[in-house]
Amino acid sequence: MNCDDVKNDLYFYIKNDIDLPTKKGIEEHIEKCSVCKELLNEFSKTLRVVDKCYVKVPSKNWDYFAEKTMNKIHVKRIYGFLRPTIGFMACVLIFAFSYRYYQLQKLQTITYVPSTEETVSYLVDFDIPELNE
Amino acid sequence: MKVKVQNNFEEIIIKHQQKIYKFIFSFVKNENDTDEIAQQTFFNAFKGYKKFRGESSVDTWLIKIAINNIRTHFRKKKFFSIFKVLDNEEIEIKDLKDDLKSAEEVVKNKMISNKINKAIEDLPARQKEVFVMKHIDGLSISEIADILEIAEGSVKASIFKAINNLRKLLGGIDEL
Repeated sequence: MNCDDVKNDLYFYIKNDIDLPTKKGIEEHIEKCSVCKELLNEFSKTLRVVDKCYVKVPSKNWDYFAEKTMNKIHVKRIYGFLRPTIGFMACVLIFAFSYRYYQLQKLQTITYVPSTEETVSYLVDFDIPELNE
Repeated sequence: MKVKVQNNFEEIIIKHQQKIYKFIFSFVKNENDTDEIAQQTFFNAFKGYKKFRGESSVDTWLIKIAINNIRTHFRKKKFFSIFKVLDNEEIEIKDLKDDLKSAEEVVKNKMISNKINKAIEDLPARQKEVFVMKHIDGLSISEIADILEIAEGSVKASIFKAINNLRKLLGGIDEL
């Protein structure tokens, strides 16, 4: 066994979740290799620390939880489509209003004719008889 | 027919809910989020129940759905954390096996406990998944490989990398 083989099996060696020939192979390697020996000690220490910090799974009334889950599934099946539908309709409405607003703005820009003196004088330059009169 | 499917599925929930709940909780460590993810998992399973061909066991199938929901949960959490100035959602205080003697010890143990959980949280996603599944949930290598759809060798390598990273992250913690 080389170092790479041993490294991948160290966890299982520590947890004693390994077949006998592999275990023997690791032990033989560790006797010769100080790097892997050090790693084994460090890994054991790390796992001991991790093991001391455990989270209790909250206790539950499982019958009630199953019933609640089934009810939720039932509700989601019936009303589950509502959320995406409302979202889609909201998007369509926002788009429609924005488009309408944009169109109105555009129309106002086109129809707006400034009646300033500058414009009149500019038009006079074209020599339109009606305008001169 | 619908009623039959519903009854069958209710049996599945009753049979597997504890294992699925424990599995989700080992990642999320928050009761409310676990409730929500577990229910979402069973809802997704219900939707896909007709398509389930029994190629893997029901357990593995449900865990596969659960792990996808857990990933979605963490993605959402990461996204919304941008908008949070302060993250109020503290990981529930962990119990340490030691008998707690003084207030100072309680604080110290809480700090160590939080540091350990933070170290596990900070592992790269694949390493965290593999480590939690193996070390906390006690799944076999072949089960993990099947759930994550990776080779067994990759599972072993990820476990090694996870412990190696934990070793570095927890370097300052003396043995309790």
